[in-house]
Amino acid sequence: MIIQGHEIFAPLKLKTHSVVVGSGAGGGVAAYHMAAAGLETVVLEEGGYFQAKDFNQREEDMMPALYRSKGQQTTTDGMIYVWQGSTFGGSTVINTADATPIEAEVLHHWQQKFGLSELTEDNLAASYKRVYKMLNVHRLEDQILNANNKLLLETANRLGYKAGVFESNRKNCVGSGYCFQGCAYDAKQGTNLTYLPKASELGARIYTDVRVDRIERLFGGKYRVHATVVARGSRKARHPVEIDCERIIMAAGTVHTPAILKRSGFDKGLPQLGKNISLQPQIGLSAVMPDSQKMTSWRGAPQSIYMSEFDDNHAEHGLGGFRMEGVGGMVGIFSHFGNTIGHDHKRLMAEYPNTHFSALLVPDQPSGTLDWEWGPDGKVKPKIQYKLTEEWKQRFKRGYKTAAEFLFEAGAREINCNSPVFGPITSPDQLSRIDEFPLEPGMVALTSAHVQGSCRIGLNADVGVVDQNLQLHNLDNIFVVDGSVMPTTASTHTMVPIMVMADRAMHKLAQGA
Amino acid sequence: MGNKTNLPSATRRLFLRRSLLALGAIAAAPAMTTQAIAKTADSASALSSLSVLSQEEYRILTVVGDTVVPRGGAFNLGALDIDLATRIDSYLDPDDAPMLQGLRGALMFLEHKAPALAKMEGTFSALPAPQREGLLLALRDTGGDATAVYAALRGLCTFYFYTHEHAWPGVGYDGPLVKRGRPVYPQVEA
Repeated sequence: MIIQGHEIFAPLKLKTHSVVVGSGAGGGVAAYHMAAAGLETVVLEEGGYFQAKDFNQREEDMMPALYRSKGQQTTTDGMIYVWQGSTFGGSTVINTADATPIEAEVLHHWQQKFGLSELTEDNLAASYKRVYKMLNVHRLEDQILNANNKLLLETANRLGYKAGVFESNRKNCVGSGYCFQGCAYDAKQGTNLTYLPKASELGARIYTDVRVDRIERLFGGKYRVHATVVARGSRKARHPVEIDCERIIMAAGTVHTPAILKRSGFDKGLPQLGKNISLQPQIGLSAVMPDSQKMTSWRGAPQSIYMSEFDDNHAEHGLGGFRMEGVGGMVGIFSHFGNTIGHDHKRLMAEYPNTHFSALLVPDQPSGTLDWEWGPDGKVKPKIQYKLTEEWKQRFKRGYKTAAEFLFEAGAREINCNSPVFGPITSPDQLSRIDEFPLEPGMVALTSAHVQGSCRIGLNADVGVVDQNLQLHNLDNIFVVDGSVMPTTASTHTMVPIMVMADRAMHKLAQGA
Repeated sequence: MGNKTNLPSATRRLFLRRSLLALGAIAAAPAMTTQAIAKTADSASALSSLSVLSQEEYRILTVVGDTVVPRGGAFNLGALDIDLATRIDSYLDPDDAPMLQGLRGALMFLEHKAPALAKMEGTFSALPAPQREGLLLALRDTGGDATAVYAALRGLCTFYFYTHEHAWPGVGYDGPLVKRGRPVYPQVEA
């Protein structure tokens, strides 16, 4: 059963066995496993309930509806936009449906550095099988690959670089190109179409427009969840909700899961709570191609091909290096690229059909922290503190130069990025300008679509927040199953890694193991 | 104009809140009194079609839009043709006080303080178009808060201009495949 906030007209008091906080990649999986085990389960999702019929393929409408803070959530210095879904289905509704596993080198890194001996490829294999089947993961069909992405593949092939086509969790994709705005065709197999409806069929009650404020520990090892029904859109408080339960599964995401735990006073004895955040920052690049070379970046699968020649993944450090991935489909956001206004900017925008767009992904080591701000309403609000390291900056600049060289090789006439001050690069002999690239607040807009950490797995509370079964170190029956548990960045796309980790832990829990 | 190679230095100050617009509040803070901001806000909805902006804010934002996306050039349509300031107003959240303070601060800073910084006389909106563009680009190149005001206002104008369906033919974008209005939010009392 799905109950939307506007259907609630009075304070609620409920009792259940398990409460799942959040309905995205981790929450959806958890809800399904709890309900499948016959446990009375309630899912609380702060975002609204939207369906394919509501998605209008316009970013100015869909970002406020589907994204956390209307797509304006940033690090405290404003330099990095941190995109997270905030809707029924969470980020699985707004991602580009790319299904990548946790890299083998990352698992080895976790084993070597953090002693996570249970998280092996063998131990995760059954979870991959279940998740891939539920999501219909398969290699993307050739017919929805667009020219914008194929440019990467063709150029990489010509240069002898590694590149490939993503696996994806789509079904009957028409290639409209609007993944970031929610799929209007129900092709993207997010939790909104897979785990959550199945959990609902199995008896789970899923409440949308309900924000969890804090958790109270009751006598006898039970818990009370204090939540609030909010108005969709404004998210103003409407009615209080109290739910008594035996088990809580946190899946509110890397930013809000630790905030709720902090508000609840559960941070005592968890020195790592809110620390070790990876943002995997990326920058958007645009390359104006010859007039005859139409990219039509907004049609077809927006993000379907990667160029991975410069990946540097090792057991010593996990993900490293940098890579390029095609990206497309957002005329509004892409209008921010370049540093011009007036007729110069109009000339650049008139090249939109023959402009290639891609993202330069530069994996980071976990270095961010959540800071806490006590609001006037007495609630803790998370603030993402994150500073780029010198090592990352140097790697970014190497990556930018390499990407620019690659794009010139592909035929680019002019390369821009999402910086209001850094002017276009119009020939390879200008690449040295990238040495002075302004990686400073206000000078560039980086994006993080894969925020991880803040409740990382560790063998004990000194080094981690949850154990290898994703249970809090300091409290029984509170689990965390979202991206916050990743000790370091798990992969270039995090939906599948989150689901697989959640599946392993929740399957075990449901089986009583 | 676009091939600038000397980059401005950035300040390291922490910003009040980084929606793009909030940056303007800090930029304008030394130049504007609290009363001035409040006065501007109090006159909101002076134009019947506006939800959030005051008449004065609307007027300045209209000129900013015309500077960022003027008529003519690569394609005819400009910000004035779609009443960009009204469109932006329709997307502003009246409850987002930091964002609104930022926008108001940015507009007032640009209108009243920025010209003097560039040794220009009068208000921004009274300047001829080439000087307005020159002033905005000078802010871009100044660094720190001035650059933040440039980035915020530029981003606001280009985002809501190019997501308007009338702008799409000019940039060769054939638009969404489904023709639907904005999503409907259930009306309930908070």
